Amino acid sequence: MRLYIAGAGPNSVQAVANLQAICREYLAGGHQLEIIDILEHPLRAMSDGILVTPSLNKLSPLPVAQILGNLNDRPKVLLALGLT
Amino acid sequence: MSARVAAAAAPVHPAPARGKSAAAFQGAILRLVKGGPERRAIDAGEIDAVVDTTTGRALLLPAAQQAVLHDKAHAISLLAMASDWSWRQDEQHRFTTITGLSERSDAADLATFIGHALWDLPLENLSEADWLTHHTQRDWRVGFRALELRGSDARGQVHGISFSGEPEFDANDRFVGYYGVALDITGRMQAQAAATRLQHQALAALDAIPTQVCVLDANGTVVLANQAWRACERTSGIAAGVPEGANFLAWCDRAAGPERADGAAVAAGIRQVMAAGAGACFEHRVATADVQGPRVFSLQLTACHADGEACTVVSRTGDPPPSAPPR
Repeated sequence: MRLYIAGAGPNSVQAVANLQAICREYLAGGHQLEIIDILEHPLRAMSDGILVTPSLNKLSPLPVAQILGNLNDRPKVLLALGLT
Repeated sequence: MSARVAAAAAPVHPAPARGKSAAAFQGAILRLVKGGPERRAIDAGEIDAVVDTTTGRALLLPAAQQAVLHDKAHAISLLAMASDWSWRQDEQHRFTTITGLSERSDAADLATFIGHALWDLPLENLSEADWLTHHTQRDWRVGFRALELRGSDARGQVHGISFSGEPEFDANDRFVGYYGVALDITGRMQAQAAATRLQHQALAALDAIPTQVCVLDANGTVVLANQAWRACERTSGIAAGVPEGANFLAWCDRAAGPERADGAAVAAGIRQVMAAGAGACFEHRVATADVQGPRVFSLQLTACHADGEACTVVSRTGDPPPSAPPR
């Protein structure tokens, strides 16, 4: 998974916390998560086609999924990640 | 297959439309974000930044802008708490600005740094090798941490300053100088100097004592010995002349031949006082012979504590008074 954030933006901070909690509860370490701050790495966002942040890209297992926003809606996030 | 999920909620515009600049901002957002899920997420107030895919530049939405600015102000405030003043130097390593001096009594002295490189200042404690290392760091354009310098001001008062710095580059990656922070470490340097002085005085006093004295750590290794102890030759009997760094306890344990019984007794004594703790004493008298003929000496062991570490003081005196019959 790749989570694109924008520094200490309130939604970015919330997205990181929400995703870490989900990973801890549902994945128990069996995952790889890369957090990319687009303020520090602007070219990554451009090359990866990211339009808005926070934005979570699930790369594997297929199907890939993109979730936009602060990941507060846990049922929707779990559904998109295939964890329900 | 790709699924895109946008948070759906009542539209909340993160940037309240106010004036021309707000309208221009909204226009820029609309121009950049055309997709439905992104727009919905923005309207739900769940987005911090919009990326201009042609330049890679991130356009922060107002709440995120505020948070980033707050975060920056927080970092600056933490920096101010952790350091006494900050500085900046040009590409020739000359101080150009020094900030945070207003409340300092030595502000005038520090202000004289402006226009000078660090090595132009009247500093006393760095050796040629230290300066060479520092110049190499600067030549390589790498950061440096806690470079501790000592110098005297116009009134002859000694000051200690710890410098940390990072190189700075412009948008074209051209080196433009260094910036960093400084800590006033005068108090610590004075305390260190006082402690060193006291240590030298204590060692000098120990050396002035004619009795042979050494200190063992908890493993029985000689960590300190006075001049009389060091001068005593190994041939002068058990416990004589064991050098600093050697294990006195092991030396006693390994004693062979006529010294074996005395060695075992002294080793047992060391273990006994170590186990009993600070203040415990043990004395062993040994009859021996050297070039001057038969002699008797006394070995006193005293347990003590230094900086929380158990240690044993061993003192060795010559012939005991006649009232105390030798063993």
